Amino acid sequence: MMPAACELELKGITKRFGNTVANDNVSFCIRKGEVIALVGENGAGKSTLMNIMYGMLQPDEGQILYRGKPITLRSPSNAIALGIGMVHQHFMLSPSLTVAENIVLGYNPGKEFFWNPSKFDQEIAKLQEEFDIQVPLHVPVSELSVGKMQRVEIIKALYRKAEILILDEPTAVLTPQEASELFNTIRKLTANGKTVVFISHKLREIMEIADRIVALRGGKIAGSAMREDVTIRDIARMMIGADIKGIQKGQQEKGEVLLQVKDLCYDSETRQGALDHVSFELHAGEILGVAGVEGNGQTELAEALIGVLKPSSGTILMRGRDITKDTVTQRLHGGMAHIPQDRMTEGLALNLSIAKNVITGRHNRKEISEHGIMKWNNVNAYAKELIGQYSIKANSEQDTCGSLSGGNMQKIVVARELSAEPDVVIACQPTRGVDIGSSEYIRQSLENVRANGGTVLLISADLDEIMDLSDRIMVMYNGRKSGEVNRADANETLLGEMMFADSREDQHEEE
Amino acid sequence: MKKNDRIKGIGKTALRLAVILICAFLINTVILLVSKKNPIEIYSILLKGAFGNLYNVARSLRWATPLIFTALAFSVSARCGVFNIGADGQLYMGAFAAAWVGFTFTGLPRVVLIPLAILAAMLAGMLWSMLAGWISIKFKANIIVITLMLNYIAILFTEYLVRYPFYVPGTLGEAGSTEYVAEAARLTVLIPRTNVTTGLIIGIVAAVLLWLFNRHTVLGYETEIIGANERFSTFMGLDVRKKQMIVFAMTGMIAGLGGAVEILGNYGRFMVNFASGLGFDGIVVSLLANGNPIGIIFAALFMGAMTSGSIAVEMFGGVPKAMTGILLGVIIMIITVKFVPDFQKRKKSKKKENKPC
Repeated sequence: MMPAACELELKGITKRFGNTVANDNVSFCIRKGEVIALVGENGAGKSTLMNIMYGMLQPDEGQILYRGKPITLRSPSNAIALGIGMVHQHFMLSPSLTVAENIVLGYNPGKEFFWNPSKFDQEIAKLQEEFDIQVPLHVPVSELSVGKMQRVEIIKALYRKAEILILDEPTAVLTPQEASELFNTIRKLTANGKTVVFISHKLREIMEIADRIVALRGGKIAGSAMREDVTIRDIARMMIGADIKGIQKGQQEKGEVLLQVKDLCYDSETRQGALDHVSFELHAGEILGVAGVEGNGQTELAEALIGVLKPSSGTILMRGRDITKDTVTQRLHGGMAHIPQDRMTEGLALNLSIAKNVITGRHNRKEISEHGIMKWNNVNAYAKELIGQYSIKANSEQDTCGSLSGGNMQKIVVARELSAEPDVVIACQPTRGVDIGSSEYIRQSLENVRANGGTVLLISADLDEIMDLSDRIMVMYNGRKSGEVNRADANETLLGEMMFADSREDQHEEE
Repeated sequence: MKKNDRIKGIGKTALRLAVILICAFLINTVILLVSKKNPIEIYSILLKGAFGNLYNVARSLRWATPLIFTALAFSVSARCGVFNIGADGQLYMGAFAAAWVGFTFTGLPRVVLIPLAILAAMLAGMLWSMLAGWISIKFKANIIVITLMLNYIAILFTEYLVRYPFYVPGTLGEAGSTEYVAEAARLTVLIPRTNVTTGLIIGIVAAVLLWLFNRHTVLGYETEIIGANERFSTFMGLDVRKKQMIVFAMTGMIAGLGGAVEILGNYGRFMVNFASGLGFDGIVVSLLANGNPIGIIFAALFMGAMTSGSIAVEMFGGVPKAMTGILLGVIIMIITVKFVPDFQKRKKSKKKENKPC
């Protein structure tokens, strides 16, 4: 059978940033009506390639052909005009405007002078019907769930007459149920002749939705295949160039209670982000996974445990001692460690060196400083040691953290926190936006904490991660603990229901 | 290897400064040409005015001295992420305190009186700066607005002190100044018959001390982390508010010290409105030096030379002193839009590309 002609074709795309080659002679073809998955580790060049396709970056070499004709994309508006739309990982929506206003905003092909809501509404409703995407049109975007915001972004692209839709890690923020709804939408889109470029590194969903898979590694095409012809293992091998090892899980008896949380409450002005009588125990030698849609109190729980957030009531006991009133520093020195959910704003000082970042918080140790004077030689040696030990890719310990890739930044955070040999680790989204190699390493490090008789509270939006690592799993909804199961009894559907069934109930309450 | 890196760092800073200054002078040249002045003539007058003879050099040093203090004051706060533009007001408070000690305790010997006056000035500056810090932390108010407003209050409050509680009948009081301080309170003149005093040395020592503080102390490290990312610092258990208050205190102390040096070194008495704009020129100096205390010494010398030269330009070149204002404005603009660092990065990366890997 003759393959269909290319809708969009990239030919020999090369893009350099300084001395790094982000894309190296990348060529592939996107055919009409297919879902093409672009996979690769962080730093493999996915984002660069995507930005080139969307006109945000210009390639140094190579050509883009649209339906056989060479084109030059100078800006996203060029791309939009040609029918290339993109849904960013971070949504580009104005929260105070309504859904309809957001969709129409900035797009006025007829150069109309007057605002004509009824006409817009009709046009949008038609699109919604055609592709079966349900979102209320006259509600401010801020009232929507993340999954619905994503639908708004998709309609926005369709409203701009997109033929090719680029979705950048679209499932990163979704519950399993929302993700499967997204996949239904994608199937509707392709059935109607649209083309979807799906960027992800969750291999399981790629196997579910993609027709063809293109893997990038080190800026080059590492392989491409039809979905039917490959297994998850094959794709992983293409992406990282080696077999993934899998986590080595050591046997560990559940030990004494290291951390006990009793009736922890935090009142927030909004219902989202409050804590409502959360209680649990962390035993030595176990990992407790916390699942839940983001914004249901997980962040507040972590911040209260580490001492950044003052709980309004409840107690936290560490090894039986009440630490509810302790400062962050006291907790850190008492054997607690925290991997914050956002390494850029909470985990690192990006424009300072690696050396300055690996000691923060525990810089009053004798090896690091004495009598108020820093021992920089020791600091630098220590940083060098961690760079080696955690295989952080950096030229020297004097490099600024901001110059590193996401995976390496996260490794610095993990190195700082885990090298202190903590008993209790609060890990929030430890592998979000981190390449497979580094993710494995970080997960293994957490597993080692458990194997060495420590305990980990693993808060993650990645259910696979929670299922892989945890001994017990608790689910949070609306600041409450909505369920708890042993790993052996857990499956995705059950957890999804705990995250989701509860929320449906809640919507009725609101109505 | 490490030494090499440091030399490279200094070279990079020097290159950055050179590019900023060349750009500024080019733009200024265009302005001069448009206003039908001969730029070569004007610049040679500027140069002569700044360095022409010993007295010109002395005048440049004299004007550089207070800028070292105000620039250091600004840089301490800026490094900790606080945009404290209150050096002006803190300097006035310090200056008045120094003058008061100088004309009140006239019986004290030199070795006691000068340190006492300086301590009083640092204390006054410190309290004034900490007041700003307290307001900003307590009421979550914008620090720029607070320090700016406190500048006005300090300037007018010291004027009130001069005109009412410390009014001296006769010409001095009418002219808006206090009594002269005791001779024992005056700083030693380094170059005879000029205003270059040991104040310059105090400034250089302060800069070196601050450099050591930034580089080698735990508090210096902590303030840098806070300045780089406040939220991160909170997560790492640093007491951000407390550390910022310390920084406020340091800023005020340095600015107050600058005020003491101005009074004890140059004027010998407190005069109303004696130091207009020193605080803001200090910000420019600090920006030019990228906040580095050692760099601030040189940037202040440059600014002092510009001030000194512009006085000559106004007298002999028929171009108003405001020309240096334009120059400074252009410099600030170039620094703010960060045109220069980008330019550098691009150059650097090109160089690296050419190297075979």
